[in-house]
Amino acid sequence: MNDLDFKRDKDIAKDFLLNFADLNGEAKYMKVLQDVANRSTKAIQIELEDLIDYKDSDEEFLRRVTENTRRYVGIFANAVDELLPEPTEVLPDDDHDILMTQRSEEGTENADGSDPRQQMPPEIRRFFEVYIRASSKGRPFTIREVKASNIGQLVRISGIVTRCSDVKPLMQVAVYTCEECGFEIYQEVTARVFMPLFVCPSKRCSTNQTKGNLILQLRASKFLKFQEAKIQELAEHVPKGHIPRSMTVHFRGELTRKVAPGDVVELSGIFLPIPYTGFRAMRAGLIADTYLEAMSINHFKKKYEEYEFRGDEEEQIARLAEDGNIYNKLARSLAPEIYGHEDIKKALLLLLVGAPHRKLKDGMKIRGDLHICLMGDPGVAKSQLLKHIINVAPRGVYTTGKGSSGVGLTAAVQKDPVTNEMVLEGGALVLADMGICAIDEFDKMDELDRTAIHEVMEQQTVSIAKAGITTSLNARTAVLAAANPAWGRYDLRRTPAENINLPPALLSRFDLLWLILDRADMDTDLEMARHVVYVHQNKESPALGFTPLEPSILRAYISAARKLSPSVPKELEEYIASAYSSIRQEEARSNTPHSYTTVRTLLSILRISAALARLRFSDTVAQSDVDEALRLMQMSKFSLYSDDRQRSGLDAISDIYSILRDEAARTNKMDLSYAHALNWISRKGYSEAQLKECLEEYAALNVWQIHPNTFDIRFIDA
Amino acid sequence: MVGLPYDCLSNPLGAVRLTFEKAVASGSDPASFDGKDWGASDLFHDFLFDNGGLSQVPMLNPSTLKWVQPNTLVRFRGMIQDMLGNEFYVGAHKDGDTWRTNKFTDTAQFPMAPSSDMRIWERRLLYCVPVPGQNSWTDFSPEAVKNPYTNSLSPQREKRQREDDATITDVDMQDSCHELQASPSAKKMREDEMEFQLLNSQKTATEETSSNASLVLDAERKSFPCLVKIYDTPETDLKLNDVFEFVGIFTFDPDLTAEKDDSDELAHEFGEDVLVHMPPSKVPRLHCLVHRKLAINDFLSVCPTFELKSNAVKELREALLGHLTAVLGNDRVAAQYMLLHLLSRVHARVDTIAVGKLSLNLTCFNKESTSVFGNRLKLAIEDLLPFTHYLPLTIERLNTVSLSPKKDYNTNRLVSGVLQLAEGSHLTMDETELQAGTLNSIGVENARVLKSLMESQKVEYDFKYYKMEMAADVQLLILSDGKSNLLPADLVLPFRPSSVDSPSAVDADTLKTWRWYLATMQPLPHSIEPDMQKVVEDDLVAARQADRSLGSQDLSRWLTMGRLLSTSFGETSLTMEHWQMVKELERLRRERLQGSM
Repeated sequence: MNDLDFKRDKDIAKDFLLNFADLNGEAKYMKVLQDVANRSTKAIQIELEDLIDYKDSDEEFLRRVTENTRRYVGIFANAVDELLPEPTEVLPDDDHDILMTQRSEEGTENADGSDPRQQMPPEIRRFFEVYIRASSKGRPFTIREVKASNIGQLVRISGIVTRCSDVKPLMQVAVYTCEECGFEIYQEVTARVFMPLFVCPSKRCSTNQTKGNLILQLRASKFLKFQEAKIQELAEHVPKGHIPRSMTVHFRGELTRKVAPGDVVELSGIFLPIPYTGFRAMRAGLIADTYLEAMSINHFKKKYEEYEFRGDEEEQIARLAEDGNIYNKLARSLAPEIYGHEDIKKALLLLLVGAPHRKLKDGMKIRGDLHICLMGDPGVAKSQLLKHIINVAPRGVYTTGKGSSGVGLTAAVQKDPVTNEMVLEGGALVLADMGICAIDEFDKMDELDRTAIHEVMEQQTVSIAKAGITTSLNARTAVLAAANPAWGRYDLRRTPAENINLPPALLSRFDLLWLILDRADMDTDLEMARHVVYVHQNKESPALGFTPLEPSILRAYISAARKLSPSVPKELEEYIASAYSSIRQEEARSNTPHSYTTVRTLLSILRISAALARLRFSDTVAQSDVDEALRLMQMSKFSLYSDDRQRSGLDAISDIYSILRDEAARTNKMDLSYAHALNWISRKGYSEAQLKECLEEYAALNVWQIHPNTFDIRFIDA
Repeated sequence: MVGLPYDCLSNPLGAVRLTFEKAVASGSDPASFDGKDWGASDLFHDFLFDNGGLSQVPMLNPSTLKWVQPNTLVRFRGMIQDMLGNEFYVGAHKDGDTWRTNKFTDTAQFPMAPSSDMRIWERRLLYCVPVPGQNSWTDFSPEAVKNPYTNSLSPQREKRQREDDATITDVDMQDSCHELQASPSAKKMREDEMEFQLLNSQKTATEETSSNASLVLDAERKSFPCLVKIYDTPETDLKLNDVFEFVGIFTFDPDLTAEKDDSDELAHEFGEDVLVHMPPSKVPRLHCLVHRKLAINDFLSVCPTFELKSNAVKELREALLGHLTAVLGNDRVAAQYMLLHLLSRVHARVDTIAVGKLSLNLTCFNKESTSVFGNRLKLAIEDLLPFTHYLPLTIERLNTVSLSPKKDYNTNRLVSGVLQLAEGSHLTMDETELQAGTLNSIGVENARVLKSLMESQKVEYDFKYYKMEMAADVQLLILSDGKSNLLPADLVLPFRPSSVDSPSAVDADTLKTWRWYLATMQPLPHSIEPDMQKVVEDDLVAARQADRSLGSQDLSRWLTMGRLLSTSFGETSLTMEHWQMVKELERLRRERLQGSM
């Protein structure tokens, strides 16, 4: 490629900068240039996507830009030089300007500068930096995928920052003055090391043979901010049995100080070989070191609120949302390798979705996060459920009640070993702010943490008053706890309250409490035996019977659902109120109340209903949501007290009958629709099959008549 | 390979060059050779395997390193301990009008004009170490590969060799110093050498503080790593902790020796330069031409030609069982379990379960019995398996030793831990010395790592910003007083020795057949016939109905035992007889467990 081509390309670049119009029809880059002229910004980000969209650019030009990016950064900078408008604001003169005016005056005076070193390089005049940003479409490269063939090209990669150097000045143009002739001599520096000039190369000095001494002028030279960093492949990009790769990244100018170790970033940049100099070049032999010259930095978003859809995710979510059975499908896709536990998985799905936070006018906050506690025998996959949920959630912290660091669950004041200052270090709950905190071995928690967790679960803050620091940290997190029963295994001879080794004040803060028991059951035993034999025989898990959704889709769907903030319509208020009061009354009637139904319970119902509405992408809570919420709460209670029910002597069929009877009496009607009946009995934790059985049995006794098609019920008046 | 102008063994680069020139002459574009082979690999493959050249290739180890010439063919056996990423090099360049290649070398054979047309290719760097815990009997005897250069040493060569010696070993340094004093480069090298020694001694000092001397077993061999450069192989072929044999070109270039000068610091802020941390004098370079994965069988010096006849296998099994019984003080039940344990291997991973593992916890060991039987057992296992480790657990050890490998970002290296083990290694953990005490955060972390290894055969590697689980396949044996809660094994068996007589000595040939037996039986396939499957399922359900405390792990363990028992008889499907044996064994074990409570 010769110079002519570059000239033509500069014209294309100029044309693009002048004429590119964004969606609103405004000249996007001219606006940026005006800002640059006014010195309000320094960076000019040229989006490759704009170049693609630009009508006049041909593909050949685009290819040249992506494959020889470094050259084209210079071409665009030259184009900007020519296009830079006059500032529209009055600028205060700084040192640099004074130097510049001086220089330009001198420049016209003694223009014998045929020597290139005497001509002012354009870089020294520039107040801007040009970056070319790679197109954000498509998947970024992993570090592993960047090959030798990518050298010189614009690439986009993702990784985690592992090390960062200090920001240091890097000389871009060295300026010397000659002792003899007084000329300013410029030297452009492109590498990290350069050979300083010692003898004045100006015409006057060389003709006079004076060998003028050159003095480096630090103030007149131009420096760039420079930072070096290392990035490493993300864990999920590393193939099995391999070590993550790493890469050196150079940040210049405005891009410095944007990353810190531990950040997950997406970078676009130019993949370049490091020019070796001096002795190293000899020693390195054939090997070339490489680095990435950063062009843009994108921090990965870890919160739902900032989740950006990638690729066709939006489309897939829309397709899923149309599918009626989304609630079941999503729930089943949680931890698909764990067999059964459908209701628990549903509850966990709702925990992921959550309800919107409410802030009342007087500043009071009502939490929207659902708290769930799983209790059960050892070895019923509680911990695995917890870990799986953490994997699905974009921000999740898994910890055990004992906690491994001194910070524990909440927060601690620690002395910084370097500065000796007191610093506040957040614990797991604080780190999980706006996310999910899974706490295993909840029952083995420190007494101190346990008191603090009361506050976290209702007020969602962590207050600390230690070592002169009094503060309150946000901990807006959904707590998912797993606990073992008091005696290691659940003892059926003791009451649930004895088995649960947690104070009621803490228990009441959980919206749902599940007991997972390992019950003796021929069917499940056979199921398990078959599974184990199958695994040994075929070296794989038996087919699931359905294809679970990918965690990424799950995450996208949940984040889309979390954007909604459903409200409760007026007509449902009455319904919820009556449901609540009936639970209260039931409790009052029973002589051994299992639970304390309080206002918290009512809030729980609302929260679960709102989460369900979010899942349907609906702005209002429907009655079906409330019914499902009540059913889940009932199921969670039954998982605890089902033995009581058996002891009370009522079998399921007669219980269903009495429920329906009461309901009919309450409404003073002889008719009961099937859907309505199903609602009521499912709220009490019975299945549809049991209802059908009940309907048949009592129809045979002529207690009621069943409509042959709709199964609606009509009581026969006695 | 008749008529080949180059000797593959002593001038492999010539052969590479020849094939390259041939390929170019036949009209291929050198630019298209990136990541491809132009026939060089085939040539060496033919030479090594079809023409039996492999046995002539010297094995690279500390003793052969003294006389192996640079740019000759060598082989190296080791485990991939770290992957250093890829390296970009000038693969081909134009010298005037002809193309030259630099593949498989560190330096250009022809001068490169700076402006010449060149192609940049890449190769991968693997840091390999001898397999940790490798037992001495797996070594090839030094006579196996003779030094081909001893006879034909010209005076010039002798000098050369001496020079090499100066940089490679520090033994002869004193005498060679005198004559080398004059040359400045040699002086530099010597200074370098000092530095490395210093560095090395510091390193070993820290190692010693962090781990007990018994862990730094055979330090000489352990500290013999090799930097292998891999060309054109798909990434998936070579995995971390795999054991490979690499055949390639050994290069050594004193010019490449790292030197600390000021420009270094400038150019390399992070000091991750490979040369600085791995001087060629300590870490030889190998440009790999051919590599193959090694199985345990490859480590057996001579393979007896036994057939898989059931009678012969049965006899072997009985003999080995008798030996194990004697080692274990006449405890035949323990010997039975031990045999199954030694045959176990992770066959598959389903979800979170590692199918086929069988860790064994022998309880009722006290101080005295450990000193007798623990040692005896350790020696017996060392004689039978190629890679073994012995790890006594104490509170102090747990609090200081680094079990899981950890990434050191200062040097950009993966610092190996005790649990970075090759597939099929055996690890004995002695818990009898464990006293009550407090674990610090390292100790807690170590206990967690050990537990996850016991439960799922996975080791978490610490990459500081995240942890990565690496699959492991390690046979785990625990010796403890009571049932180990720290290390939940699949099988807990109270140990009941009835005599302390030491077992009769075993001759080397018998040991060889036993090693062969274990290595050959282990990978046998296994299946369960449908009618047998039904029996097994019914048995499992019945057992669970009878005892609610049985979990899926117990059922899984029985099936594993069934498999291993069939395997130990050299059979590939489960028979009723063997299933009954498994149940009988488990009954005996349960009786013992109840008796010891």
